[in-house]
Amino acid sequence: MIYSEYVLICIASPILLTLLFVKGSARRYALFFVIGMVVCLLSAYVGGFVQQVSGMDSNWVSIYASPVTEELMKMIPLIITLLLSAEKDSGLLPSGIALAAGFATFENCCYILSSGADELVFILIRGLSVGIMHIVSILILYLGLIMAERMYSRSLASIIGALSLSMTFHSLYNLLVSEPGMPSIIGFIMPTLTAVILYEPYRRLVPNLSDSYTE
Amino acid sequence: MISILISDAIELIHITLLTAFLINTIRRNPVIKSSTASLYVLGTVVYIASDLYWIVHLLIKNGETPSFSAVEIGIAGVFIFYGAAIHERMRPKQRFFKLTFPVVFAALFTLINTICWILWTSGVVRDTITGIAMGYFACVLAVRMEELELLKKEKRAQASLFTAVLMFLELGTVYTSGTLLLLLDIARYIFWFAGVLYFAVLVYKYVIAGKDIEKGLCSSFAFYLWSVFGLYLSAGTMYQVFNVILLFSMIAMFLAVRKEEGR
Repeated sequence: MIYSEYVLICIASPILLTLLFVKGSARRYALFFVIGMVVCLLSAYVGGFVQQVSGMDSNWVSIYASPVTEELMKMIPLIITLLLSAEKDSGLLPSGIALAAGFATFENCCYILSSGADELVFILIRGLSVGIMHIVSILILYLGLIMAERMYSRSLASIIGALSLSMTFHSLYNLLVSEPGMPSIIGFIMPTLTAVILYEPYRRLVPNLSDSYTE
Repeated sequence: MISILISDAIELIHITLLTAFLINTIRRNPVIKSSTASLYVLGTVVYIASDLYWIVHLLIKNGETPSFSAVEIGIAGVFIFYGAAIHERMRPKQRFFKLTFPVVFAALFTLINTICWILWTSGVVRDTITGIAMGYFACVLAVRMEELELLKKEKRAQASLFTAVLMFLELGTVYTSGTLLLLLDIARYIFWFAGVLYFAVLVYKYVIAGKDIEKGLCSSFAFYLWSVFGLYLSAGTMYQVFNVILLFSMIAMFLAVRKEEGR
């Protein structure tokens, strides 16, 4: 058993301290990185609650329920930012990516602490694929929101629709990696492959991302 | 086992076809300007992802059906995106639902369908999620159909009677057995196929032969929704038949969206 809260305090403290010394996009990135870690911890709480209520085992929860709760939790800070900030959409993406990176980092930390880190190759593959998976799911969400923005408003329908896409992607990943052998291999490759496929629509829809990040 | 294989094969055809539609839509329009097309593309991507998830799930878990999975979320996303694509085209005043006849009619129809699914499969959570999303899509389509006079106000009574009898037959199949069940089963499929025929005629009239883009879009999306309703209340061979009908409705939707883009 690990005390996730202590791990969070330990990792987040130095990053939170940096907020006093950096400004602009660097501060925003650091803040969302920490938010991502907090969201990861809260998602674990929700997952535990779902497990208690449903009476299912942890394997069932990780395959079927976790993708839904995790994506929902990741989306909440993004939606709040979107509603509170008057910035253009491109400003939201770096925050989303920081959030996803923070989420993946904390998840990897907890995984390593509970399962050990004696196999470097496996840890590398897992760490990388989890990281890319969370970033890709945020990217899917973001692209969905950008495309839906062309509607008369950022309606609830478009937000829920984009959320369902990232949940389905995350669930597919969790389902594949839950099974040893070929499904796991496909699962670990899938996020990278999706990232490559998404690059083209991403480039078309967000041509000035670099500008927004050097604001 | 054979049924699962056939189902898998049809799902694979769905994925292949939808992927082709998706690539075609994106290639023809490097920057998709129409919001209807954008929402159609997003809905199709979710459709492919959830279909893919289901196939992988069937293969990995040997056909086991979970009480809740990403498929329900994905399918709900598809209905929401497709619904939003039609919602987008309504007159601004109509965009906010009022308790008009089409809204009540569509909501009731979806509600009874959802009750039937729950009685049939006992999957309360998944059927409720799907039902809510489908209800939104059905309400949007019903309002839009009346707005475009695809369903005239004078025909309200006939439409209500038709669906009421259909729902009565559906509920009847849940509580009966033996010969009566067989008779009710035959009767309900006659009604479902009458609906399929009605929407197929509309699609032919407005998408294939005609040039009315708005009516074409609405009738093709309604054809798709009707096929899904029929599919969800079917089993065995009839399920596969509706799966094939669904395939045609997808082609109709793609053609309608393509016409809308080309305008």
